[in-house]
Amino acid sequence: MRIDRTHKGWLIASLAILGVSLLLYAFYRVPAAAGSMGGTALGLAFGSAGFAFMIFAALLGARKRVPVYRFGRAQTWMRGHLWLGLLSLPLILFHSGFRYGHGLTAWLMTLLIVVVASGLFGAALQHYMPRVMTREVTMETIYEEIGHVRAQLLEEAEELIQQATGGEKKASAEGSEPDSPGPAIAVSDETAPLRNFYQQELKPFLEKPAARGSALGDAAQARSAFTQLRTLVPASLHTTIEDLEGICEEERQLTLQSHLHMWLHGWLLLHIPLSLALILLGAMHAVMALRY
Amino acid sequence: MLFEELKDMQWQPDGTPVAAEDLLRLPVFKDISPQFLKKNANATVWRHFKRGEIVCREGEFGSTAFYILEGKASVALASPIAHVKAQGRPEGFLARLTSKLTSRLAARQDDRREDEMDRRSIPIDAPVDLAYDHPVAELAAGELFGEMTCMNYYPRSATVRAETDCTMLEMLRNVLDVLQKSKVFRAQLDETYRRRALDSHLRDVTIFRGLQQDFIDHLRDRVELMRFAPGQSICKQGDPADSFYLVRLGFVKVSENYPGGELVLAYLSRGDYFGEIGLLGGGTRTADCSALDHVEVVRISAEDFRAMVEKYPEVRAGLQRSARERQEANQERLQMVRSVPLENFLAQGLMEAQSLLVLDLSKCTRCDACVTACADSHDGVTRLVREGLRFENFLVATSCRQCRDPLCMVGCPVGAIRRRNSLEVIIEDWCIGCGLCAKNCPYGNINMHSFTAQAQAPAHEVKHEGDREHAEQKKAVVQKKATTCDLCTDHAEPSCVYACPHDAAHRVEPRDFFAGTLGQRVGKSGKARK
Amino acid sequence: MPRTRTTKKLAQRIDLDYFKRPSPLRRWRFLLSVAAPVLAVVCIAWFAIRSDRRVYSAGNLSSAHAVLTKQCSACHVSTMGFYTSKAIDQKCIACHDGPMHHATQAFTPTCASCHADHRGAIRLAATSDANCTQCHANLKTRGSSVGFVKNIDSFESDHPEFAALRPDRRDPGNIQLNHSVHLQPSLLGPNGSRVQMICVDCHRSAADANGPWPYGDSKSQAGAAKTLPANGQQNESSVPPLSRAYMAPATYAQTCAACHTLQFDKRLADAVPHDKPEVIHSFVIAKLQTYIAAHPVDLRVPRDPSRDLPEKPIPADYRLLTPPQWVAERTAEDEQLLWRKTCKQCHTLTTDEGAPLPKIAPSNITARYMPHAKFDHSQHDLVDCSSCHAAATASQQRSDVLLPGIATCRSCHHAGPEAAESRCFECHTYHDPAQRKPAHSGFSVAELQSRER
Repeated sequence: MRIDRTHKGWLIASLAILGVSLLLYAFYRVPAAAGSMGGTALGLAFGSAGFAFMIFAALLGARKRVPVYRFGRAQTWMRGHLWLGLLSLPLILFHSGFRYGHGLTAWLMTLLIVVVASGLFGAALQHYMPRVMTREVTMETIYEEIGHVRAQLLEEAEELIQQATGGEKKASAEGSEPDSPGPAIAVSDETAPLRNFYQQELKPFLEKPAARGSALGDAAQARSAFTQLRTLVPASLHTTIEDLEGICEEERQLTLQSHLHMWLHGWLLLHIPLSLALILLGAMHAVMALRY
Repeated sequence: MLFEELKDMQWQPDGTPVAAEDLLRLPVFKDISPQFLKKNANATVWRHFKRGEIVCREGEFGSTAFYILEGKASVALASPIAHVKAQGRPEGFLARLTSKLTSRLAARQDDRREDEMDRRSIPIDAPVDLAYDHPVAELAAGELFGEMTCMNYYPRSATVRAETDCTMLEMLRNVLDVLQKSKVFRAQLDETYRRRALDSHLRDVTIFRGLQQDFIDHLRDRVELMRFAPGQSICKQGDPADSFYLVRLGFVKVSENYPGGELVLAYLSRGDYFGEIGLLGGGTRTADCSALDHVEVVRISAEDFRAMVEKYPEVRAGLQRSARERQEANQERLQMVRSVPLENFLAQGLMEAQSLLVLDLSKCTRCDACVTACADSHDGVTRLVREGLRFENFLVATSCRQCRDPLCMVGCPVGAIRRRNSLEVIIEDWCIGCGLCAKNCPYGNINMHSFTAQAQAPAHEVKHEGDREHAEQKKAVVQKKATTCDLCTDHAEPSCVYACPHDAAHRVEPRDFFAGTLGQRVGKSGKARK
Repeated sequence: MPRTRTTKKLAQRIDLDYFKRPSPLRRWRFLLSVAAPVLAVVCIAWFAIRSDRRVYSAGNLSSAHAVLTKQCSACHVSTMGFYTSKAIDQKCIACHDGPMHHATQAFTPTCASCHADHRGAIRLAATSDANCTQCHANLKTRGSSVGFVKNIDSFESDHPEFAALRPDRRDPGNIQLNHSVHLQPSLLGPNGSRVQMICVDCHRSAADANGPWPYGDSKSQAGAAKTLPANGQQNESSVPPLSRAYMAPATYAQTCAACHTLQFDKRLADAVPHDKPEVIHSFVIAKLQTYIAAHPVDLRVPRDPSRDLPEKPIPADYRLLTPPQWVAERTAEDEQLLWRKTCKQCHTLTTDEGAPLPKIAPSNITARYMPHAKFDHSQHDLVDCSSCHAAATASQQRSDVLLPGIATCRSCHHAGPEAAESRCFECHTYHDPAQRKPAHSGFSVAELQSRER
């Protein structure tokens, strides 16, 4: 989600809520007793509002599971999640009277801060990363299918090599003297560099593109490797080499895409589980605090 | 009866295929090969309409043309001749927040819009055009209507209702195609056009509005009707300019060649004209004009044109003004368009699309919510693949593009893939899973999915006692069916767009959406200006 | 053949069911999303099983209650509704009484509304001003209005001047005392010496009363003397014995006896006891009787020519008296001296018509000038007496109230981190101490140490 001008409405509404809360808190708390804030009427109101916002934010996950139910556009829910989720932090701070808490409430404050911080981090990622990914990975594919696509690229490379070296074999077989019958067991010198390159460098790279140590993993090194290869083989094979180079480029881009995708989605592994734990413990806190 | 020959014909009930012999009796079919007619015996059927019955409605999709044998039919536009106008937009943030926009229909006299054309007649898919003020006309025996629908699969352009009891022939594209090549048929078509439509077409050209009737009469016999196949060039940039063209049928692409690529200036359709710049100016064509689909044009030669211009100086002034405007606009476009990947746009075939699903890659987080939503609303099978070529910073997703010329529909043996009342492509229940449509679609938007279905062995396979038992058991077979994006017409918004949390998925009309990029001036009505 | 990219080729590379299969990211997300709440539940359950409710505590208990950390039910009662378990007043009162403030107060706040615990090791009695000003900022009472100022917001802003120092108030004491004279540099002291008296020579707290008094009688000078309860002492029994907080009223025996001796007769060195007139009367008679018995020669009383009066007949040159007569005469003389001069120097005497002995007005020495506030002199040891009681050196009237005014207190007791405590509780007690009843709840040490189940 790009945070752009279309968020203006939400921003204004959020600032309004924050402003009203701040005023209420200031007028109530500053002259008030030094006792606990959470148990007072206003404190309960803040706590309930903050918790309600948190629940709404958590419901985004549920909403995404039934994307076709017409409960409101996913975009609206997403914006609500961002802004109301962010608002839950100041509201809970008002609820606690800016105290960190003790026991369960200390865990909750920690969880809340971690969840909101990870959420902000994630929002920043979602603001910037798509553009980065689009710019850097021109041959992007679907992340979950990268393995599948890689397998197809390997096949394509195999075929290219077969065609190139097999063809040469045929040519050399035809051009060979009639008194050396049978299949050309002697490998043609012309395609040997290509085949060797394939066996030693290219194939291992295609099989394990993310492994370190391969020269083809780096664009500049790959370029020089291929340039060198071009000098070793006849011009007829240059289109093949170009194709192989293209395949390598695509592999590199897919590796890059994997990394960027992990960044773009990895933070969720922290944000979602902790937020669920937060809601659960928050409910527990509400029950217990009202009890005592 | 119109034709004497029809006396001998046996009228068949409504819906019966017309026998080849009967067809050959008609003068228009004189040149047609009997073998062809026999082979395509079911391609033409008898249609009978009672007085008042509707033959076809405007907006419906069809694939046939009608040839009136007997009777009169009225062709009219049932929709109100008005545009949708949104009621005054309130000022101020709060007012906008709480107010609702209402729409009403407004005719030209009530609400004059800036870019509006001053057409007097409305071009339709019939031998005659409808007048703006009174959009009703009459069709008589011997006239053919529905050509565009038949040849190019466009929706019906008007509502045809039988005024008296009518008998018509309804024919499919293969028959019409052959007819259009026949000289006799062509002659009849031309004559009808000259008589009925040419006048209004000419008068609709703004600069010709002041012409006297005698001049029109003079022109009428001098114009030439020409046909072009899809892709055929009508005139090329740099050629000597020797004619002025009016478009009678189909779409013409007007483009210029620049070092960076081709720039499309405009798409012209029925009633539009081109070629006057060349005639006025230095005498060479300034743009390429080619046919997008099956196109018919009316050609007015240069001498006639110059005579016109000499006799009516105001025509010259108007022409010069319009020419100047066009040149200015073209220059402006050129500035805008120098570095734009137009080539890309055309190469990807985005021109052909009426609706694209584009994913804004600067917002898309690659979360697959769109795909999941699509699958959820279609029994777990997605009609959308989040992969494809990019245009600018958008990914043009692999999802049905509602092409103007739907290649997927060509060749379906059981006619299961067709259009309904909107752009939506439907694959009916009787799809046999042959996969031809998937092969034909140049973008891979149609996918064959395997379903396990229970099928009973057909009775004729039961030869022995043992087989009967076998037959009574149900067999599980793997049935393939073709699936494609249906735009989720049951909902207000397609599921994929609805489910995207990041405002990245959009179903758009490509020329409007990319109008800025393409350098086309988009008028308020949303149509590309000429 | 150069590689081309078309939409169709790209799309056909994709397996159309990919989004249904879980990728590692999705799988981990799911696993963790299950694991985290489960972990939370396990933690909660762990505490529940061990009946350890401290995890729900909002903070550590105050220092006074810290011993009850494991005994939640000491304060929290579960029987009120099926769900609530609040700390209720009855539980507080089980251990310590919290008597009502005033019978006429408009409402009675709950214990917990002023004394909020679970805020760490705080002083639980240290309530905030807001708890007091919720009534006293705009005082309303049930029934008759009381004579207290109705709008007090804080000590430094609008707390009124102390009642004893209001413009119309006088010290009600009936003992003449001129502080200025007594504090002068060269005062005539005992045995004719010149002394400089200091505050502590007369004013000490009850706990220090057993020390040597430089200007007291011989016993006091020696120290450990018993203090006579002063007549009509106006005090509430709230002054605990041996408290260092308040100055005990000065007594004659401790502070005056050395200089203000009570000789009554030139023949005798004795001093009358500092007691009621009847006692003095008996004492004088007894002493004179003893004397005349030892000195019968004095029964012959020569005529004192200086005492001849013009109109009166000249008495005989000498009179021979019987001992009782002599005693009676001498007693009258001595008592005249005493009643008219000696005692009158400090006391107020009134003689009714025909009554043989005068009545001495009760001394009315105020033991506590501020009955509604606490003050602890021992906390102020670091300050010189005259720095606060500045009026003493110049005071000449016994009616002067030498208590320091509120301004003096405010010079140290005001708001701010570098000042002394100025909240209400520092001087005032909400709970009426006069009505405190004893209470104790009887925990055993073993109970307190084990976590309640």
